[in-house]
Amino acid sequence: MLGEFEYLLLIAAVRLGDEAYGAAIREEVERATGRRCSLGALYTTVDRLESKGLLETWLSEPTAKRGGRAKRMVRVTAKGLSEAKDFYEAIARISQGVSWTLGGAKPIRVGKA
Amino acid sequence: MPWRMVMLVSTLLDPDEREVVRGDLLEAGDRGWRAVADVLGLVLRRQIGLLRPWLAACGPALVGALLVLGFSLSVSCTYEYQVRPVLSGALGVTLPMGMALPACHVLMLAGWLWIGAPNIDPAMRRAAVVTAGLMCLPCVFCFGQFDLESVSRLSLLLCLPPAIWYLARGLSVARIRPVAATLLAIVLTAVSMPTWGDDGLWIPNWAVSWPAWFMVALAWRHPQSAGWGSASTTASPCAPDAAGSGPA
Repeated sequence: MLGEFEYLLLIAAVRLGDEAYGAAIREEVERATGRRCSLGALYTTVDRLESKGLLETWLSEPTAKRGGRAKRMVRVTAKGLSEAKDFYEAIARISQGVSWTLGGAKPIRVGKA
Repeated sequence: MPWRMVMLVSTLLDPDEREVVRGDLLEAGDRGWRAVADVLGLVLRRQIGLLRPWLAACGPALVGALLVLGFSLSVSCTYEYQVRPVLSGALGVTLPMGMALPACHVLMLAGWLWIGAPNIDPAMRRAAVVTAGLMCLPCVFCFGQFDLESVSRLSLLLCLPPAIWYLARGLSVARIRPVAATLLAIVLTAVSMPTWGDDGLWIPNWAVSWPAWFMVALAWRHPQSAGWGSASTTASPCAPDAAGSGPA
C-alpha cells in the first residue's frame, strides 16, 4: 500500500505526463495540498518509488531556463499506476457514506447539569 | 548570501543530483533561505541514508564479538574439563551428564557467527571491513587480559576460522530466509538455557540476544531478497529505501 505522499507524487507525475520532473511535480503537489513540499522529501520519495519499480527517472538535456542544468524526468510505470489506483479505491471505499460535519454527534456540556 | 550557501551545501550531493537540485531552485525562483533549508534537508537525508548500514553493522558486531569470544572460551573449557578426561580414559566409561553443554556451546558459536554473516550488506564492503575491525577489538582486549592456566589463550581464537568463512559467504550470497531466520533465533535462544547459570536465568543473556531477533526482523521486512544461495543482492535491508512513506 502506498503512503499518502507517495500517492500525491505519483498522481502529480501522471497529470504532468511528459513534463513530469522535480520542480514541476513539487509545484503540482504544493498547489494541490496547499502545503510546502521540501526537496528532501520529494527526491527521497522519488528514489524509494523508483526502487519499488513504481516509476522510472532519467536526466534530460540541460536547458537555458535552468542555467544550463538538466532536469530529473519522471515517468510512472504500469505497476505504479496500478498501485495508485488501488490506493485511490481504498480511500474512496473507506470514505463512502462518511459525513463531513459533526452534526450527528451530541455536544458535550461543560459545567453543572 | 543564501544562494551562495545553497551552492556550498549542495556540493555535498552527488554531481548529477547537485545540478538537478540547483536547476529546480533556479527554475522555481527560489533563491532565499527556504532554498538553503531545502538543500540542507536533502543533504541530511542522504547522509543519514549512508549511515544506516554502518549503524546496522556496528551494533551486532560489538555484541556479537563478545558473545562468540565467550562461546569460544566456553567450548574450550568444556572440552578441557569434561570431554578430554573421558576420551583419555577407558572407552567403556559412560559419557558425563555435561555432554549436552559443549554441544550447546558449539551450536551457539556457529549460530552467532551465522547471524553475523547475513547482517552484512554485500553492497557495503567498507562497512564489512569496519564490522570485522570492531569484532577484533574485544578479541585483542580479551587476549591481553586472559589468565586461565588450564586452557590455552589461543582458545579465544576458536571463532576465527568459521567467522572468516561466514564473512566470505555473507559477502557473496543474499541473506537468510525469514522462516530460517526465525528458527535460528528460536534455536539459539533455546540452546542458551543450559548456560543460564546455577541460580536460574541469567538475565543479560536475554539482553544480548537482540542481534538474532534483529536479523529476524530484517528477514521478514525484506523477504523478497531472502534466500541462501541465490545471487540476488538487491533490496538490502540497510539500503536507504527502507524508510517510511511520508514526507516528514
